[in-house]
Amino acid sequence: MISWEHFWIFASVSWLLWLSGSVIAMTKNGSKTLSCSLIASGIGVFLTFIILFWISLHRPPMRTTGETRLWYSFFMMLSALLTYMRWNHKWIPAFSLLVATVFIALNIAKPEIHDESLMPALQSWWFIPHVAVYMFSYSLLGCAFLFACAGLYKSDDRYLDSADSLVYLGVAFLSLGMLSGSLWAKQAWGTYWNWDPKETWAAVTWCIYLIYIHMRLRGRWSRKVLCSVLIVGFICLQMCWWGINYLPSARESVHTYSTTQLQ
Amino acid sequence: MKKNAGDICFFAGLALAFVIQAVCGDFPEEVFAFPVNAAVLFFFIVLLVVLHREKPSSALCRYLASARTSLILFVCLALSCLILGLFSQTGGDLLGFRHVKYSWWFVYLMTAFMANILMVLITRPFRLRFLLNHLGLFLALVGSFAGSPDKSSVKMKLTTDPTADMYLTDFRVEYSPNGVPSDFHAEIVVDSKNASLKVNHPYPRTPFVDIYLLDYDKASQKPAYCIVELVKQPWKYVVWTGVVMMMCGAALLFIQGVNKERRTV
Repeated sequence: MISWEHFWIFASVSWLLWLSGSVIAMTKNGSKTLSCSLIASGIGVFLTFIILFWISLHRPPMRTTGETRLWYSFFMMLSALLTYMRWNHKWIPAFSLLVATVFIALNIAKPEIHDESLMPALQSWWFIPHVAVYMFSYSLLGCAFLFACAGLYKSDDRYLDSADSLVYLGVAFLSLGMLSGSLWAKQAWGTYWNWDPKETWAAVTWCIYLIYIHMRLRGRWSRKVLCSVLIVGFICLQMCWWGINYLPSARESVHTYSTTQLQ
Repeated sequence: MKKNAGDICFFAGLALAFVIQAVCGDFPEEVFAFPVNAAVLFFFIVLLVVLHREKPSSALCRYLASARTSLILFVCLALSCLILGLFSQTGGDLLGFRHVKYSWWFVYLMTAFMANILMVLITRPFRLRFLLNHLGLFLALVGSFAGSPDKSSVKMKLTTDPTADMYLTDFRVEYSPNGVPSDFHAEIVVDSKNASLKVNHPYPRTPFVDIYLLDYDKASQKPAYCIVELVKQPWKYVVWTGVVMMMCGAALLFIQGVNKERRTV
């Protein structure tokens, strides 16, 4: 029977495949086909663990935090592969691998094997896609932030051109996360939008990235202003993701799942 | 007309909204209950369409359709959301910072924003992604804000008393091995029909009213009552349509990526 004890074996094999694929993607004359097949086989090995684990648990492995991190890593690399195949951003696999590595390392260090149950409010098929698309969007916008920082110090407009494609992708996923969240909110709480602290910060973040997109479409704004908008957007994103936990209003949040509650 | 006359009018309007808020208090939302909201919305749309058809080069028309106006509104909305996020919404302050949703200035900003999106929709050439994103946002906002006076919710305690309109017949709680409740099920009778209630699975009583399971009698082993919420939201279909259109628009944003000609979102 497959259990958490076997996770590190599958994870290391996947990780090595992903690493070699990412390195080949970044090298100048690296073969894209080889790189994609290596990443794809890594995803295959990782998925094998998830499926075998699913069978041995007799339930989908989506309940504990550790189990959801399994899916984050999986989705992260799958989305990276698709994005790389579609747009040829050479750094995408490496960057996603960095995020996936954090989740894998956390799972090996602290697997949280206790069978703590998922509270009923989270027992919805919206849960995984809602969180997964947000995680992917956060990672893309994080990368756009790095480009913006570079663009602030070096006078090169190419940084902004690269940031653009990242922001478009990031905003597409940010919107999908927010919109799926609103449909789920209607199902769970009876209202599409609650103005809960998390939702409010998500709205602020969304507005700022839309400001950036519209600034790029029309008007001639200086590189420094545009880079600053992306940096402010990323700061708001961090507020929305974890920063609000340190605000007094977070205690009223319906998105705080630390206490046992029905909804 | 001077170049900045539009901005001056817009900000004067915003200042006026703040003055009205300080003098009169919250926006009288209940006045706009159906059919007033539908009528106002209808005239609002007709007015903008006629304005664009009759005087497309008028200063108002150009101001409402400009991308610069969208940027100003986005910044104002982001600031409003920040105010909403930083002040706990308990109500009872002069400028409505603690009651943003019900304040005159927020209603003013939302109205201006909807006028802006509508004007942009009318004036820009047709592209599928653009239409899905902008019309979707317009519908979601219309459904939420124009539909807000018609939205109501009532909490009710359901007992096992069979003479009531709604009553509880059975309540089951399942526990996970560590003793934490993992699942709740309420079997109820609504308008002499059997229904099953669960968190994330509301029961549609009528096309406009859904019943949600909120809480239950946690004190006893065999719960004797449960608390449900009846949410009436007739405009939910408008919001839903807008949200789904925007999801398709976001998917197209993902598939198509950055627009090379840099003309439309």
